[in-house]
Amino acid sequence: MKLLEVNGLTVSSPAGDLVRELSFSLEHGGALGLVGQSGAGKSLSALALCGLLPRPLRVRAGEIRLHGESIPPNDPQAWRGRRGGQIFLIFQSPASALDPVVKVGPQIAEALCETRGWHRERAQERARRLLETVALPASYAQRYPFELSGGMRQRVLIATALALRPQVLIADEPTTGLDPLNRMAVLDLLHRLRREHHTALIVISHDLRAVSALAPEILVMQHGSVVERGATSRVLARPAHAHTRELINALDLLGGRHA
Amino acid sequence: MPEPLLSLEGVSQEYPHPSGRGRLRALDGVSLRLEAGQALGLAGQSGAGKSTLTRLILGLEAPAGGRVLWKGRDLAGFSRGQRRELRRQAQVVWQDPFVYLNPYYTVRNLIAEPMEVLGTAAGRELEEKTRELLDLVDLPVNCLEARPHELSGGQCQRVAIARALAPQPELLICDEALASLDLAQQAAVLKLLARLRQRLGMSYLFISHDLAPLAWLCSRIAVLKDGRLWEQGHTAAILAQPAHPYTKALIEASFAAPRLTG
Amino acid sequence: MAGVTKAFRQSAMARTGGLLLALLLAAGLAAPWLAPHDPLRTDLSQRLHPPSLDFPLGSDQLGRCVLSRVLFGARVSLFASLAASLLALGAGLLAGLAAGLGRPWLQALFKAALDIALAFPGFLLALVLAGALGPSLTSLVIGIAGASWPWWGRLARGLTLGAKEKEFVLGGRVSGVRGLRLIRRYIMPQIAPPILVAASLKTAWIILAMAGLGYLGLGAQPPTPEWGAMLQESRMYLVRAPWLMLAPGAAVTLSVLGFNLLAEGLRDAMQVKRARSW
Repeated sequence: MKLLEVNGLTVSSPAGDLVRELSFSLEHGGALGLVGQSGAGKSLSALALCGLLPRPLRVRAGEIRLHGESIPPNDPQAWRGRRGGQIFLIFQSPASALDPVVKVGPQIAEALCETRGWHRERAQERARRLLETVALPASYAQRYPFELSGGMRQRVLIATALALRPQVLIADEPTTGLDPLNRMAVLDLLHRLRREHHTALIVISHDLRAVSALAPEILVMQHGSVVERGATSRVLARPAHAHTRELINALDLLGGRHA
Repeated sequence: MPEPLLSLEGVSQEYPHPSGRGRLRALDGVSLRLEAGQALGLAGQSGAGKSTLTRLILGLEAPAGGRVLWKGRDLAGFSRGQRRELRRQAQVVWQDPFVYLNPYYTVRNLIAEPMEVLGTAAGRELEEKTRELLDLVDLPVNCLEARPHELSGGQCQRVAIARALAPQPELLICDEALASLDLAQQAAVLKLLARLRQRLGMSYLFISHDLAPLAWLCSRIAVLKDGRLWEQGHTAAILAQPAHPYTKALIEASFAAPRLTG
Repeated sequence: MAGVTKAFRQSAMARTGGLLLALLLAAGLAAPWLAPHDPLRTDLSQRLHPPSLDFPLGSDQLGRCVLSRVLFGARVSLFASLAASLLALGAGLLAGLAAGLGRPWLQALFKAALDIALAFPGFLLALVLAGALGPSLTSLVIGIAGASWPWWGRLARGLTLGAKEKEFVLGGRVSGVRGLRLIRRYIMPQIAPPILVAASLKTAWIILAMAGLGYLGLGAQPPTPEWGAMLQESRMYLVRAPWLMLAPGAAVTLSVLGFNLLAEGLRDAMQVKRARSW
């Protein structure tokens, strides 16, 4: 049985459809890339896959199956228990995804207490070790999110993901706005998360570099629709759709395929 | 040898530490030269002191140590009139056009304003020049009445470029001007910047955390880390033989396609 | 002022408040044609009539028509309140902008002035000022404006300090924008909506203060019809002629209600954030 199956997912606003007929499936430990320009509907798809669509947006048609069980896409109740442990979303801007008034360590620990019922002390200790896993000093547990750089905050979110060990991790623009060194570090962490914990990944980005590094299969989106899909190596080598070629050309200029 | 357009001599800058104790050194003895017509790339991670450098060059703050020279004259001794003239000659394209462009303005206001303020054009001529600039950055005439939030990030950044070009500057500072755009838009804006330089012949100070666009656009590169300049020189030379391990790591991360799959 | 138009389109509260105020103001303006009697003409043979066809809201202790006096009173009370409000708003806004945007020494000066002025309780200050200037409507307007401008100053200063930190203001400065243009086109659009909401609320307060001080005998002098003064005069006939109190009381209440509704409506409509883009 597939871990996650999505069939004909269509996200609509009162003004019209914003994502049309998105379909894919994901195995345990698999990885899928979703690439496209801003406004292509990638982030909306991510929100829909976690039941987090802001009103008045809603899923108009389509089906999301987790472990073969269909989840009513517009029912917040149905998603509440699944987010965190089963599906985890890393947001585009880590600044807004972290609680600004809670220190980083307790924030990770809280996730452990809530989803696993751990004691505070055990969770705090684990949080410190998780920070080390994402290459941050354990002492950073005592820092507030605003005291960290963008790359560090992104790592804290990944540490939270490591704590919860979700079956599916959706990373929405995980490397956007990061400098090249942090970009590499974050990509490496996500890759390890998948390899070591068997977490299935959905990587969403405008940056083909990030997506192709992590996912053996990619979907290219434009204006809310999937315009090309296939094995990453094939899509990069022989793009079939004009928009895919545009995205690859951008890479040529910005360094993804030099050296 | 003619005076360089811009030179920094041992420039340092400090701020009060956010914790309230002691001071934070943002720049430490930075020396740079930018010749007229040249494109200089400044690379460095966030927090390296790149934005501080922009503010110092614009005369928005004074350095704690060292000198900033514009055409050989120290900014510290500038009169108000000279400062105003500097404001015309050096323009900036900032990182996020959505926060750096007046949201209450239309595209027309945004592009025309610098010319109105400086009194370089009025009436019919102003309208014509506004349209010329719009055309220069490849935007259609029908977005003249749009407001920033109605445009895409790439379009909005083009408006910011047109606005910066309006006073016919000699130096264009691009402060992470690509960072908030998606990759395809980045490539398009980068090409536009290269074409504009060819056509208008101004100098660029291109600041970015990503080496790839710097290397593509600039003939010289300087690497800034923790407020210090670690190396500078010709782009090709630095890419081929980085002297500093940090530069080496930056080059690898910027150019190598990450291969993690499998 | 696209925000105001939008507020009226979107919010029933703003429409109700606006309509109420428009009616009150129109009644005041049209008083000479609407009023059944001369508001000043006394006729002791007609004193303290309950509401009737001839005196729709009754007559007072000097036989004057209450409806006519309330209508003419709208001219005095509402227009004096608006004048005081605008005066205070103008002064406060200027002080606030200076305290937020001026040279450092100017900022410090205005901040100190505002802090000192704010240390006095508003109502008492208005009372003292109006009292010292002698009993007239003008001195009451000046007194109330003098007491409430620091409040505007503080609000405008706080808003300005926040507004000038916006990145696009720096962007404007770097392209050579300064002085009045910076204030008019970069700062004012940011601070105008909250100031407009506050202006509406504060005018409601000023109407109450005006009536309160009129009740104490300051401001418009007899026989000029003014709501506060009318309330004061009616006090002695509370039991015998309660309609005397009812009419000006209702007028004050409706005006305050109108401004409060307008403020609420404006607040709702103008705080709508810029559309998010996906």
